[in-house]
Amino acid sequence: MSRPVFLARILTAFLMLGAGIVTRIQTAGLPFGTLKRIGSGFFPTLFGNLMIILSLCMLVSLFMAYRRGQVNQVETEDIITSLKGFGVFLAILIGFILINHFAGFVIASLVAVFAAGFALGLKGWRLWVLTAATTLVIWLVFDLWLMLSLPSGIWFS
Amino acid sequence: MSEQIIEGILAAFTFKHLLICLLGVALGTLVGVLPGLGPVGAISMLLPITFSMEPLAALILIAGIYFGGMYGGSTTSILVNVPGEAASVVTTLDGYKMTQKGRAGAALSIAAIGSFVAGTIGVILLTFMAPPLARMALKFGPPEYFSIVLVGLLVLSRMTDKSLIRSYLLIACGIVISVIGIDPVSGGLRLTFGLPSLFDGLDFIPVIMGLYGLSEVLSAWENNDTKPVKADLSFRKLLPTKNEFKRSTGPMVRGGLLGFIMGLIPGPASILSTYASYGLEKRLSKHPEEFGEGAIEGVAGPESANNGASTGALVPLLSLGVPFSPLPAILLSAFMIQGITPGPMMIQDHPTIFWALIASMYIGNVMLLILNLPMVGLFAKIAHLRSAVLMPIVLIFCIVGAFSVRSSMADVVIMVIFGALGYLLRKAKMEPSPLVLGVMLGPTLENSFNQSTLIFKGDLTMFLTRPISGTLLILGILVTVWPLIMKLVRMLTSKNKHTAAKE
Repeated sequence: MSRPVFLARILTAFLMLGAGIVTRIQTAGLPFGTLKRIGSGFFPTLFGNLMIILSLCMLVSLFMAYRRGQVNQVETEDIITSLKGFGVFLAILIGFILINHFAGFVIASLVAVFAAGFALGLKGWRLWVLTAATTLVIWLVFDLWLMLSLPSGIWFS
Repeated sequence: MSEQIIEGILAAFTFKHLLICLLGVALGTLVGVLPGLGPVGAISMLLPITFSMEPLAALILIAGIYFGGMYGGSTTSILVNVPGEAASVVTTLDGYKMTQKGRAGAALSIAAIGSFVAGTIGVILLTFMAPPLARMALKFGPPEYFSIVLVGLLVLSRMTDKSLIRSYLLIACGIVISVIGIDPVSGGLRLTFGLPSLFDGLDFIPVIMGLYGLSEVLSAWENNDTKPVKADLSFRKLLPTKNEFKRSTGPMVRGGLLGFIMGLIPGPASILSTYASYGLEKRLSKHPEEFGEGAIEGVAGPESANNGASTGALVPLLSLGVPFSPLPAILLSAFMIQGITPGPMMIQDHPTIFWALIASMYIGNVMLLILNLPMVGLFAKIAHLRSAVLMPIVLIFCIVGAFSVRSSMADVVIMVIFGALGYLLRKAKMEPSPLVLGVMLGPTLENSFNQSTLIFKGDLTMFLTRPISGTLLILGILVTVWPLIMKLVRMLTSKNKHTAAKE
């Protein structure tokens, strides 16, 4: 396997291990019950433990693969570029959530589509047309036709 | 009785009712394409239109919306890797890969044709076999639900990843995610971290939209330099080739039958049927290595199974008046609003309506094909849009789709979190479908286990002593451990050969 895949799997295994530990801690106070009547803690405890065991097994197998030289040290993709792109779009999404809170869904959508299109290299009148058209369709279809009641934000409520 | 059948069919074939069916199919497809809504959302939202209509017209409209919504959900799966509903998740595995190879039109066409074939098979089986099949479905109790879900999780998740550890880790994670919220039995809170927005648990729509759709958007930056596939978008080239048709025929028929039979089973039948069909076709295929890389069978089988299961789910509803899943439950309310009680007396009390409804299901399937095949070209053009144009649209539709589930921004936040997880899994080359299976089937697994242990007072042997449950569990265990046993045998055999060669 390539080095980026190896690193991503290590991170995934640690994430799952952490999630399993948090599950066990959070559900420690819940009743486990008996087989005649299982408690609310039965399933979370069982599968939380399973997550811990399996993520440790995954870490061990990754370590063994590394020891056997099965990890290709050649970079098959630029990790920095990947993380940069991930960061840009995550920032757009967080920005959407914040703008929505204050200015409402429609304005937040407008900003998000504009930012995403700009980040991907769209410029000029195409960017403006895409932004306006998408936002208009969202408002017409979801707010007016389907009556979804999109949030209007603190400023306009 | 034959007079009643003919009367019903003729009633469905009036110009007015044909027009209503076409309207239902069109509306259902349109709303089903919208992310987060799917067929359940489509019928729920469009149901009020039927209040002022006469019973037969209303039911025909609803049948059209039902089938249209099913097809709509698969369109976004194929074009932009965003499953429109839970049962369309499997279609993304090969459908989207076909789009990336410039074969979006073929994938969409096969999905439409497969839905038609399966729908036809389903309606024929429904017509002649509804009562005995419904009686068989009633033999399923909590132990059987538990066994089928457990076997489904163990066996079906392995189709997408060779590693047992990775598959089962994601399943366990999915089941843990599914227990978030209020415990339905004790009312206690689990894994909510004191957040009120988690009290109702996580809906699977934001989860799957994050894992598939949003992760695709998060990858858009690094894929932006990739030039869109230049493909010939002439109508002839959009349709499947002769070879693709030939390869799809078997999966369509098998998928339709498998889906119909699984649709009779209570619970998440359409979801399981799509995975089961995918696994079956992968095993039967002469080129199993193509699965996950754009195999046409990977689209034909699951799409047919999905439609077959939707039709099969109507058997208990129409013949017993008992809905076994959310979609038939909504249909039941539609029937009741029109003053019709589905069940054993429906054929006796409303024979014209019953047979007209059956006929309109068939007509709806035909109309789906007629309506959507010419639109394949339009849909395929969407797939060839520049990433810079398509991804912002997908982004905002994912956000709206997640929000529309419960009109809550908390679902958007959940989608973002799972989008990040989906991105990580994508980089780790780990398919998220075992996690999705765990999330969707976790509640059924827990509830059925709980009910089984309550009924049988903690005696776990009941899972093996009850015939259906025992058979399923033994088959599931055999299928799971058989590859491990074969691997061990091969290792030992090669070791012996190596030792013998040395001597």
